[in-house]
Amino acid sequence: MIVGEFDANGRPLVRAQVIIPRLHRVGDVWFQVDTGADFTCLHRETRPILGPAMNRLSRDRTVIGRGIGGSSPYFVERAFLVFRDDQRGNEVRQLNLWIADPERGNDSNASLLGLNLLRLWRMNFDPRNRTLQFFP
Amino acid sequence: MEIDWSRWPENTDNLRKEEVIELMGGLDAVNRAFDDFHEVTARLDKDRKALLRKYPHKWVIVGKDGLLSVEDSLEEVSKFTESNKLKHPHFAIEYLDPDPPVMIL
Repeated sequence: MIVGEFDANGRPLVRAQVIIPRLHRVGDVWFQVDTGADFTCLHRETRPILGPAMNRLSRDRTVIGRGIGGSSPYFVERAFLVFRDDQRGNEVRQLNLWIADPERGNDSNASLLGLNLLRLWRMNFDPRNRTLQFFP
Repeated sequence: MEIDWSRWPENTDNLRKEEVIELMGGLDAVNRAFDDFHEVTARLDKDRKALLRKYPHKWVIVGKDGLLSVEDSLEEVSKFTESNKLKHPHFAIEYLDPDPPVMIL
């Protein structure tokens, strides 16, 4: 079982280690759980995690994400996300991670854990009891 | 967390979960990183109200012993972490917004 938390505003969060092998970068992220997002996206952590590797993001692998705030470009990188699960052993998933282009906005928004991961798990979302659990 | 990238294969598509954990330095190292990051974010949670009063509209970088730096932008945050060779999971960042926007995602 992966255990999530709620922030001060009651937003559901889950912590993951993000590994991007091609760019040799690793970082820790509190993802906001978003069942309305099709993909998992890196927003405010883009600069701190990528650092100088930002220049190595591939312009050939970009997509446009659309949301309430309009459209924004994202780079797509293969990445591993590791989630702590003390009962079943840590959960490791490889996926296409959408990385917001920090030059084009979105860089202060929360990073999102989207449906490309959430559809693989059962989720127990019980905000009244401040319980958030995922069962891979 | 220090990772020896020279050990990682070019094509990672067929790596098993156990291999990924091993390439990250082993389960103990991975879980220690989770614990360290938890400690850092707990410190940020504890200090958030005081930091918000003191540094509204600023970005802060916090370590397990408290505030490391106050910056004007995320770009400056990145410069600070790089120039001081701060590594995950030993810091957390946050924008101190006294009037946080309502999010519609």
